[in-house]
Amino acid sequence: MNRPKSYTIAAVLIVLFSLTSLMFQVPNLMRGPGDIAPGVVGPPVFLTIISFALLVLGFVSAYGVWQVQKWGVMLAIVVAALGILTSIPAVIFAPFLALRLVGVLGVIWSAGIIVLLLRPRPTPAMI
Amino acid sequence: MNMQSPPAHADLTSPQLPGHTRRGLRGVSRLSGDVLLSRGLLYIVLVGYASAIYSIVVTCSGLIYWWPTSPPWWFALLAMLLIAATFVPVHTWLRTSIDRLVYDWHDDPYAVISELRQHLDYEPHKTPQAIVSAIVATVAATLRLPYVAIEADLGSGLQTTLHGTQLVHTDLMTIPLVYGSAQIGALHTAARRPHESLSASDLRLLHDLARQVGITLHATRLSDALQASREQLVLAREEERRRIRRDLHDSLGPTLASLRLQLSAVRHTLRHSPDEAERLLDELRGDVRVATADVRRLVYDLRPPMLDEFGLVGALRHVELTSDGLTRSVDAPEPFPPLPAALEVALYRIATEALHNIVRHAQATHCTIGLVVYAASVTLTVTDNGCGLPANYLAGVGHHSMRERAAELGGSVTIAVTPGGGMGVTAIFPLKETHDA
Repeated sequence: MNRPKSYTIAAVLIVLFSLTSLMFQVPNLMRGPGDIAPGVVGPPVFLTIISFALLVLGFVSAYGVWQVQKWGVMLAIVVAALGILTSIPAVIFAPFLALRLVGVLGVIWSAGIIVLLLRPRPTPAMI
Repeated sequence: MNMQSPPAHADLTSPQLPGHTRRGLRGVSRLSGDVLLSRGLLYIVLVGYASAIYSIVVTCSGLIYWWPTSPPWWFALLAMLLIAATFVPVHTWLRTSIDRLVYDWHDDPYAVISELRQHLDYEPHKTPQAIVSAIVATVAATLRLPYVAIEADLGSGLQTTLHGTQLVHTDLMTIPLVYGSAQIGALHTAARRPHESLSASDLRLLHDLARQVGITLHATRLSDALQASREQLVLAREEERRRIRRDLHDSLGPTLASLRLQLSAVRHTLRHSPDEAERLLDELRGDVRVATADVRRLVYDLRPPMLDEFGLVGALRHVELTSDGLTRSVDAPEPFPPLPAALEVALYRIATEALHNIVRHAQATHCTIGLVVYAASVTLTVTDNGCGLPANYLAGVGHHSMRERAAELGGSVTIAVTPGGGMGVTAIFPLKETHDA
């Protein structure tokens, strides 16, 4: 299998992004609706569930990208685009500066994944 | 899908198709699942892009300069202007990249070839036109090409089989369909989208497909030629039977009937007119001689008896010629290897025809018959020291007959003036293991 370097990097970035997201989302999932600190409102439950679903799909898409599969690349682009959209509430509404910066990092990270996946011509790997 | 016959001047290598221009006809793109997929991906990513730019510009600038108060309104305006300024190039790049991903990526190019084969195997007794129609439909469907055409000579002249419509502002791409070194036809196709061309991946796959299509078309033409050849064999066999039946009926039959009548007459005249009986018996003897000659001619026409008696080389040495002044020599390997019966007859007939031509026209004093047997071919040469070909030479029945006999067995005959000034006939036949010895 002739995998473009950009796909390898993208797959690694997706896995790292999903693992990081897992670290953030598991406590939110365990806690359920409620404040994350006294007087500090946590993220909406639906956003937590969507983010969790996206990180699971992220792992699946990373496998597809690693295997240089068309479905994997498409799924990874969709997951990264939705990842941008789900990170934006954190950028705008997060109560702490650190959380906002994490949100910004998530947006840039996802955008980088999309660029990496769309950058190469797929021809060398396919035939 | 439709078929057209191009004009006589149409060239297989020309990218121009009859009735079409390079720019093509205006067509409507299919709203397929691929279109929905590519547009869906494009707009999801575009929404993500616009949202990301807006949130990062507005929020991050606010974080840096106005935290914890809200940033002023003109930061939002700045973000909008940034999005507007970059939207067109980003949209173009994303659309091109996503379209390439959706349309041009072939996970398994050989699955396309396999699918093509399955389509062709589905009905093994398709006509050539149906096979070409299946090919263009399969290529168009599997590569998601809006326009595919095959231009090929399928035995009834150059024909073009089309599938789909060429979109406006797309260039026509022509890939030759070849088998070995022979061009059988051409595959024409066009890009999926206006102002774009096919990708390198598409072109590689199309060239792979073109090779398979070339082989398929060649096989189809061979199959048709084989069928025609079989029909010719049956016709030739029936024609031969009819000739033998006619010869027996018109020649030997009346002669034998006449002999029976003459015998009856001899029987009636034998006692009271012996002289008359003797005259009748003389006539009878002459008629029997004629009948015998007829039988010999019939047998000779089926296969020269000398071939069985002396073998090919011996038979060529014993060919009876009407010219006393012509000497001949036969150069052939000793022992001469056994050849298929049909090949021996063809070589013998061509040699005798050449010898008779020498006697009739060449004014030669000597001729040489050469036989050379190679691993895959046998060559017969008949040369003389005569006057060669006349200036106003026109091939006669004898030359046509020689060429036809050679062509029947896949061979060829060349008639040319030799360096010594005489004439030379060269017949080359392929030797195949499948020939019946």
